[in-house]
Parts: sequence; structure tokens; C-alpha cells
Amino acid sequence: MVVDAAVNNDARSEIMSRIRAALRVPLKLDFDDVSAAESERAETVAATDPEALSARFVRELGLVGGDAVVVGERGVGALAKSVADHITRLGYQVIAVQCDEFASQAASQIPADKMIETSGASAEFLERADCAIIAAESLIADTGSAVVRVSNYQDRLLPYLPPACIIVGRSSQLVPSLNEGALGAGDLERGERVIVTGPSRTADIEKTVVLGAHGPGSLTVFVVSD
Amino acid sequence: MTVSRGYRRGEPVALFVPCFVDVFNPEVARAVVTVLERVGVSVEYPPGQTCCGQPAYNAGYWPLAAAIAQRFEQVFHDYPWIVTPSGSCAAMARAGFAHIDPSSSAASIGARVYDFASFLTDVLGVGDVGARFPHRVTFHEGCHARRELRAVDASLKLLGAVRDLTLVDLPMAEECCGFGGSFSVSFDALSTSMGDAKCVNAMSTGAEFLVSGDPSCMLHIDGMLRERQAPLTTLHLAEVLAET
Amino acid sequence: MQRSLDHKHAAQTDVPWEALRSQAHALKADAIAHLDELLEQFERRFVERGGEVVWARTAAEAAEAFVGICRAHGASSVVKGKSMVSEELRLNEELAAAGIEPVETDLGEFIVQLAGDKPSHVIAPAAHLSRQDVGHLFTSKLGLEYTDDPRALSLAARAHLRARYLRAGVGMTGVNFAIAETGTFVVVENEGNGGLSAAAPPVHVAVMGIEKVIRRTADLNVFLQLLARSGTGQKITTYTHHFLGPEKGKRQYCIIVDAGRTALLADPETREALYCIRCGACMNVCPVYRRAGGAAYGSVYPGPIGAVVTPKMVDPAAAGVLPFASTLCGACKDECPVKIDLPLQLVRLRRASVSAGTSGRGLERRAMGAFVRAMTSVRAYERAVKWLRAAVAIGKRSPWKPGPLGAWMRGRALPAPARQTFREWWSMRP
Repeated sequence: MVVDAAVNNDARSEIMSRIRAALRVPLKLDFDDVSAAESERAETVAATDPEALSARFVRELGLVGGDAVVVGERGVGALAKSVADHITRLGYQVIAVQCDEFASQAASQIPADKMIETSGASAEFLERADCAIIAAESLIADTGSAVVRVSNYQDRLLPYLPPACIIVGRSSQLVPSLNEGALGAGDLERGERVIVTGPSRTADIEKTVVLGAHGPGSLTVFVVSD
Repeated sequence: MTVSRGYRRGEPVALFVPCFVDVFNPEVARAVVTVLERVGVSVEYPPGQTCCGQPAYNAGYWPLAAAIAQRFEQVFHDYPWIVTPSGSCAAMARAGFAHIDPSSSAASIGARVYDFASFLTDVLGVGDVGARFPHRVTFHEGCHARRELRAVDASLKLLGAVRDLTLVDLPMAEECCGFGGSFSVSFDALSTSMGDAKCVNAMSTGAEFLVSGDPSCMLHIDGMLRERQAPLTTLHLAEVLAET
Repeated sequence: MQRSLDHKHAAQTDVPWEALRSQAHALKADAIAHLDELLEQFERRFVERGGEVVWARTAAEAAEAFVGICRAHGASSVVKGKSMVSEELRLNEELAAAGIEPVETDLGEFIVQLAGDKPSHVIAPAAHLSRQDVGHLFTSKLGLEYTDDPRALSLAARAHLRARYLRAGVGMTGVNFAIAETGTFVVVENEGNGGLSAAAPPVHVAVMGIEKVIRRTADLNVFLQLLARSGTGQKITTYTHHFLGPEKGKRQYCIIVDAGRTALLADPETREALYCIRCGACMNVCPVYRRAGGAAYGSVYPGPIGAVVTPKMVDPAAAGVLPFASTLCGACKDECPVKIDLPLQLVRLRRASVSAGTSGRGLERRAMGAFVRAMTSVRAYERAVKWLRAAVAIGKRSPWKPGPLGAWMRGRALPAPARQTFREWWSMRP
């Protein structure tokens, strides 16, 4: 315990007793039926077919300045080829890949001399990368978002450090909207789950939108059918 | 606006004339009487009336406001329908009385008070009062009528039925004119800045008349227009509807 | 302003907006009504995940704890994600006094810090500076060749701050939502600086007000659909971080701060203000805020929500002024994603201020008393009308325009009493 335990306990007790005292005077609540409102919301999230979900995903991601690549052929091999072609075409020289099986498969056709070892790497080392490859946990069609799980030091820096970011996912991971999966937190999970929606951006100077702030200026999501 | 029941022909309707309308713009109240009588409503004016108490309520003097609200209830006690040409006063009766004291008798009279436009369209079910006003007009809805009474549609419907009237949209219509009661003098720079924007927007429409359902806004906006010697005259909705 | 409002409203049409608002209000009402239980649950679960919770009664206590954490971990600099609470803590000043360098990473906050200024808006801290202002600032403070191109300036800030993330001993973020069910918390942002501030340094300190706790992860769905749409017109921010507890080799702290919030909680009339999710929508739409600017509120929290929370939470002296600096137009209430009745809160604060005597200077109180007396009987009313006619006649001719009269006449003509009141006309009607 870094902070003085006695002071901390005092503070805790005092805050709690103030809260309890305050709440002894109840507030008349006008809204007691949360469940009714919830079921209305549920109705609007209609189940849609995979093609429609995919099209929606591509469109929404485009609207926030990202790119979606729907891989023409099935299978992880086709994905790997598509990723490798993309990297060659854009001239990326140094690629950092998340410590994840699917991400590694997606990077399998990139020439080995372009890849840097992320395991155990320092942040300065990772800074050399011009592109990151990260695996998606799910893809949200409504917003064009990709959900990623990053639970070690290096992986947690990958979504931001390189100026370009590639996220690879499967069409079976497409869901219509934000849901328990995207927002969940397993008891044993650590690190973070990040919902990534497009490249980083800022509008802090005269409300002019700039793509590429502290995170990448380019975000590409590859979606492949199994 | 939700109405508990429809108006029954012959029922008396009490007119509530706010103090500032009584003193500064009585022609507005006279126009209300003209229109209501034209559509067959018998208008009564309980002589004991004075005020709804909004200035005291808004300024934080709630015990004083409660006394005025109590008097309001006593004066209008027997009337099933109470109509006022002031959107902000109607909102005060409908909402403010209950906020001061939810269990008071004043709190329950609020549901019987209507702004002029909503009374015509929602209670009487009348959209066309047989008016003619061959002029170019723009319309300002006061914030209380807009947000608490949701009376914009009623006003626009009534104006839309006036023969030979050209209605031009007021730019930034939903932005407050800046009156706000005592705000107009306590924060006069902000108040006139907001009023200025309202005037500029109104003048940009090329309208001859700025029409409103809120005489309190109009005291402020009219004061600014006259100071600018603007070629724009303010009128209450009732005055337009009274013209044939 | 109109364009951005339209853009925002357009972003609201693809979701059941009103239903979401009602739900959000209900969820917040439930969370605040069970605040003690949920905070205890959050603490338990957060600690189970390997984090440490620090409780702070006051802003000073919180700042002291923060500095203590930095010292314990030998941190010589702190990278900061955006956090309004850190402004309450005056964290930058406290860190600097302790010899620890605070580094603002949010571009707007970075600019404001460079300029030695204060943030003027919850979401856009540097909204009061032009691109030229920023260009000159970067030239003088960063030695950058002058440019006023926002893209070039943003890239310059990114490059400058890069090394700071990697060297900092502690990273700080705020908290948008702390989830009791799981002991995890959510931070939303667009730039990526929040993610880097949390991920790069070995220690992550999250600072939150007590009111940030919500019950379940499922509730996030409602809030996340509202937050970005209300704040910036986006469907969702670029990064929505769900922090799940420190991974091996990292430390995570959560400083839970009261700092006047229990005072807001204790009064049932102001309790609703704690539902605020800090989206900034109320100030975006407020005609007073837009003219006066954030600095005019003299508080960390400006705009309508600022006028409501500041007197109880931060500065009692503001009670006689802030709640009155409003026309009660209600635009904020219509925009608030959690349906806080801000105008009602303001008028209640006015009532409290008048009855406590912190407002209502002698003249106003006497004038109000006179007004009310005039309204209590028809005879008094008619006497007052006579008096008013005389006063206006004199006022028009007199060069002396005292107090309210003078204030009215700065830019407005006086209304003229009619020759005959309606009352008089009606009494003469056949």
C-alpha cells in the first residue's frame, strides 16, 4: 500500500458515511421502468444477414476515415496474401505484429526481414515500426469498429505507436451493434479491451478535424470469410 | 399538448391577462377577446386577477411567488378553462406552481391554463379563425412556449391558415431572445447581445412584422428594434388572427 | 454553431434517441441512489483484479495521494490524459511543486499548458485560441518553424510528446464510467493519448469523482451511444478503452474523489446534477456560455452544468451569481443526454441563494416586495399602475437612470404604458 493506510481508511469511512447520510433522504424517481425502455431499444437492433453487416461495416468505417478491405477469397491464406500485398503497395518497411495466433497468420506472407520481434521489445524499439498488425475480437457494423484485446505491454502500445495500423478479422466476428461481447470484462482478463473506430483524430485547433493525432493516421481493417 | 377533455360549447373561458400585458400591451388582450368571441367562445375576465408570480419565482423569491400563485388559484378557481396570451405565464401556471409546492391547490389549477395558440388548436380544435393579414411576417416563439408547452406547431398552424399572409422562417429561431426577466437588467450586456442577434435574424427575413406568442419577449425585442429604428413592427399572434 | 447542432442532431437519428435518454437517466438515478453499495462493490472487484484504491475527501487530499504515488514509484514526470477532475485537484501545480513534471498530452490541454492558460471548455479546451495563436505558440515554445496548418501543428505535438510517454514514470487518465459489477473502468477519447498515457508508463493512475460508478457492463451500451453523439456528433469516439486491471509488471491505482460531491448528493434538489456524463452538450447550445466564454464562469466546470455544480461543489461564493446568469431558456435541458432538468436546478439554486441571503441586494429585495404587494389586491395593483405611469414619464425625461432602469435602457427603448389598461377597457365594456 503506497498511501498511508490509516488516512485512506479514514477517508473511505468518512466518504461512505457522508454518502449514506445523504441517501437517507430519497429522491422521488420518475423513471422506475428501465426494462420497458430497454426492450424498445432491443427491437431496433434487428438481426441482419452477413452481407448486409459487411456492407454496413465497410461504409461506417469509411465515414470515420478508415478503410475496410473485404478479402475476395476465403481462408487465412487469402488474408495473408492480401495483407502482404497491401504492405508492399504502401511501402511499409517495418511491421510489428501482435502476440496473437490469428495476427501471426495474417502476417505470414510478409517477408521476414520486414518484421520486428515485439515480444519483450522496448517501446523505443516498437517506435521503429511504420505499421502494426492486430487481431480483432469482434467487428461492429453500426459504427465500423473493431474490438481488440491487448493484455501485455507491447501489444498495448501497438494500436498507437506506429503511424499506420492494420486490424485483421473474420466475417463471422461481425455483429450489428455494441453488445456484451464488445463491452464485457472476464474475471481473469487483464490489460484492456479497446473499441477502435477509425484512425486517431483531433479537432482541438479551431475545430478542424485532423486524422492522425497521437495514434495512427491510417487504419485498415481486413475482413476475411472462414 | 394533452387535453383532459374537449371544450363543451357554452362553457365559460376565463381570460388571464398578465400584468405587463394589461399595462403595456392591452391591445393584445383585446385581440384575444375578439378572436375567441369570433369562434363562439364566451370570454370572462375575473376582475380580481393580477399576476402569475413568474417574476418572483424566477428571481428565487418562492414564498412570495407562492402567495401570488395562491391568489391566482382563488381568482380562477371555478373556471375549467383559463387562457392567456403569454406563453411564459401559461408555463408558469402549468409547471412553476407545482415546483413551488406540489401539494398546493395552485399546483392542480395549472392543468387548466392554456396559452392562446394551444387553446385554439388543441382544446377548441380550431386551425382557421377566418383571419386575413396580407403581409410578410416572421414568427418568434418564446422559450417557455417552445420547450415547456411545445406550442410551436399550434402557432404555425394558426398562422398558416391566415389568408394572404406570407410566413418567412426566422433564422436561429430556437435561440433565446435574451429577455429572461431580471436577467435583462442584471446581465444587460448578455441580454442585449442575445436580443441583437434576434433582431438581426428577424430583419434578415425582410418581414414587415415580427409576430410572437410571448409578450414578455416582445417587450425586450421591441425595445431593441425601436432603439435601432428598424423597419419591423412587433405584433402578437392574437393581433394577426384578429384581422379580417 | 447552427451547423454543428444540425450535425449533432443528424447523428442522433440512427438510434432511438429519446428512449436512450430516458434509460440513461434511469440508470444514473439507480446508480446514484445506491452509490455507497456500488462504490464498495467497485473497490472490491478493482482490488481483486490487482489494483489499489485510494479514497480522497478533498481535492487537496487527492492531489497529495497522487504525488505520493509518483514519489513511491520514483516518477519524475507524469503523462496526463484528459481529465476535468485533475483541474479540480490543481494537479499540475501540485506536481510541479513536488518537483514532478506534469505533461499534458491531449492536444487542446497541451496547447493550453504551453500557453500557461486554463481550459475554456470541457471537450475542446483550446477552443478560445485561433490557429495563428497556436502557430505562434509552437514557434516560441517548441522552436517550430511557423505554421498555422492544424495538421502540421498536430503532427508537431505528436512528435514532441512521443518521447514523453516513453519516459514517464506515471500515466494518468480520468474515468468516464467505473463499473461496479466487474471492477473495471472505461475511458473514451479520439487522439490516442489516453491509451498511450495508460499503456506506456509502468504505473497507471485513474482519477475519478464518486459519481462515475455505474452498475453493470451492459449499462455501457446506453451511455456509449449517447456520449459521443451529445459531445461531438460522432457515433462513438475513436478509442473506447475498457481497462481490465493491471497486467504483469504494471501497477494500477484508482483515486476516488469526493471534493464536494457528497454536498450535491445530500440535497435532493441538486442530486440530479451528479448524473452528468461530462459531454459538453449543454454548454455547446447555451446562448450565454457561447457569448461569455468558459473563463467567465470562474470555475473548472463552465456552462449550465457548471452553474449548477459550482456553488455546492467548488465555490459557495458563486451561489449568488452563477445560477442567475441564465434566461432559463431550457435549450440545455433539451440537449442533456441524461435528462438533467438544468433550468429547474438553476431556479432552485436561486431560491436557496435568496433565502440564505447570498443574493438579492437590498434594492432588489425591496423592489420584489413592492411588486408582490402590488399583486395581492386589485386596489394595490391599480395604485402601482398609477405610480408606474408617473415613473416612466419621469424616467423618459430625466437624465438620471438608476440601476435597472439604466441597465434596460442600454440598447433598448422603454415600453410605454398604454393610455388605458385592459382592465379599465373591460370595465367600460357594455
